[in-house]
Amino acid sequence: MKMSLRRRFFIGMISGMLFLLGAFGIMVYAMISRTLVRQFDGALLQTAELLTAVIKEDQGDEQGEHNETTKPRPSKGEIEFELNIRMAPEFHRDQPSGYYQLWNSREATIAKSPSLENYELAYKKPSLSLPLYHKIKLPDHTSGRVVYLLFLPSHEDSAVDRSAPAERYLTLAVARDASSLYKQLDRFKWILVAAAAGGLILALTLTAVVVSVSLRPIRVLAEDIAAIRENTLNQRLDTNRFPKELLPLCGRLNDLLERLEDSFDRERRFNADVAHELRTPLAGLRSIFDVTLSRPREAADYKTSIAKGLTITESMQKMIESLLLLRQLDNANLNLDRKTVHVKNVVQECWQFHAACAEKRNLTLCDVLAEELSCCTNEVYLKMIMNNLLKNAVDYCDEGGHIRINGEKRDDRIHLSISNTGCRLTIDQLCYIGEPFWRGDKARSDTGTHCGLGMTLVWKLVGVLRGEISLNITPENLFVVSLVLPA
Amino acid sequence: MRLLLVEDYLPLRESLFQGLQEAGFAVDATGNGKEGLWYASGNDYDVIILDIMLPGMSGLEILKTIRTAGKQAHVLLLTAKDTLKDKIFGLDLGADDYIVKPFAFDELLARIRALIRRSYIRKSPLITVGGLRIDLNTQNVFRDNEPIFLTPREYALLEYLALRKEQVVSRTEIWEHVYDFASSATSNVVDVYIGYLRKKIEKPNKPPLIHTLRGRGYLLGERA
Repeated sequence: MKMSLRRRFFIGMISGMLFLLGAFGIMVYAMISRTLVRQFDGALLQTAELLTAVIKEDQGDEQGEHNETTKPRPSKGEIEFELNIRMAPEFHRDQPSGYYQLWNSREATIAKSPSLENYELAYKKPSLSLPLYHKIKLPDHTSGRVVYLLFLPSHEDSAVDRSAPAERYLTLAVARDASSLYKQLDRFKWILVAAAAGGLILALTLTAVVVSVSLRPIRVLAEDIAAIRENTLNQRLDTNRFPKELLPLCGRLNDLLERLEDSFDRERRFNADVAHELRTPLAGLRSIFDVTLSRPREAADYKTSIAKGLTITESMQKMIESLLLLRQLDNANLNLDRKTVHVKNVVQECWQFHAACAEKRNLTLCDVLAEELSCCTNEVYLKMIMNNLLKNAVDYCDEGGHIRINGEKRDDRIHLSISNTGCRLTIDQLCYIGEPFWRGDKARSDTGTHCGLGMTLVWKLVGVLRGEISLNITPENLFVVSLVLPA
Repeated sequence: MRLLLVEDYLPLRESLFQGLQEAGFAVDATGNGKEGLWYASGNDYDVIILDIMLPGMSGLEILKTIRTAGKQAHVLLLTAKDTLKDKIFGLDLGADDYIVKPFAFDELLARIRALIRRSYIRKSPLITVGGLRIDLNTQNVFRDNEPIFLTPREYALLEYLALRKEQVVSRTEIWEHVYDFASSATSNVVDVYIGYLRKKIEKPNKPPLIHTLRGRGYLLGERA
């Protein structure tokens, strides 16, 4: 079974929420983290730039004051680092929170803050235009940030002289304790995770509710469909009760119900007709036997009764066989077993069964079929068609009337027509002729001779043979059945 | 008792006609609706057995027409239509009973007898006149507990007189209810059969049960 819609919705919603919350959290964290680090780095750069301002290259014999530095007093051409440690207590060894280290172009340490004591900051070479920031471990093992600044110490011109030789450039690293910043970021990270988890739980709950509410119309639809029984097929799904997404489905289901209702009605009518058609001959049969057995009789009387019963049974058998054949013809995989059939031979063979009756009624047959007229079809079915049409023509033709059979081959098709005089039907009645058990005489007084299935069979058989049938009543009151069959 | 049978299916009509005649009824039968109406309108039938789907005119149309004309004959609808709607429609139109095909012939007879009893306002199938006892169901007749054997025609005559016991019944009425349309009997046949009946049911030293009322008809009863 495929995954349920509820599960699909649920998984989809949760995946979406997870992705959105995760992306949003990461984005917020990245933005805040970047802002705070930038602020921190900005302050660090400011300090570094302040320090560069007090670092000068020696221009003569001047001696710079330098307190608590590890370096000896510089001579001419050497670097002079004038920093009053009292003005920058953060670099003092007693309360260390800031660190600096100065390297010359040969990566040799020129100076470093007392707070570093024996510790050395790692050397990194920044570009001339951009300071370099790094996260580092400070001597007290706390997290800190360091900025590396490449600069040109100059007494007169503190601006970067891009034409100055590279060996005159110094690298200053200023580091500061950033543990509170990282702790703050860490805390913020966990707040975001907790918020995301809370949001996810809320989303789960909401999703469950939304999915349940959204799928309710489907449940209602299923209940409505389940409530429809074979005796309530006239019910239709109320489209006003469903959201517009389900309306196409409701529409199709209503169409299906209509087709089902039609089909059931047809079946019911057919069954009722069958029952009705069988009741009268059965009543006759039972009545004959009941009356015969009601008192002792002569052998001849019993013989007469049995003969009458047999006649009725034969007509009932004919009807049942027709019904079975109708059912058989509904089978789509019918084996047609086509072969070349001479139409005239078929008509003549069928006429033999009705010739006596036609003679009794003084009917004349006009057969204008060509000897060579033939078609590739199922011979048995063609005989059944002809037999039914000829029987109807003989039985319903007026006394002393004419029956005419025409046939020709045109456009690779056989066109046949059987007509009889004295038609008692009206044009309006023609459309009912193919319906089972329909008879022009509503009283069905011909029960036993005609069961009302002959033309239904003809209609079905012509369809099976991929032919066409049409009926007409001419102004001369001729009833004409026209057949077109593939040659 | 005289019945009209209107049924278009020939084998059924023939067998019912035979069976009803053998059961002692005078039966007129036709398979056409218009003919059926003609029979029903022109004669005084005790029961009309009417099929619904008939050529010429439907059974329901016949029923409606005869009821509109004020005919009081009991009508039993005989049909293949078995839905409740069909039954209600037929009964509401003035039918007295409804029997669905196929049916047992005995059931049809029982229903006809019940309708006949209803015609003559009798609930019991037993009629007693003095020492004479007639069982309408079994068609057995006893006089002082002794069985009397009657021909079907004699029984039909006695049954009609018994159903109208203590009433004067004219020869015409007897003719209309005991003889069918095709009967070839002559006008004095009623008197002849009354004579036959008297011989079989009257006993010496017992008061007569069949009385002749000159110019009026006959009466079955203990006293004229």
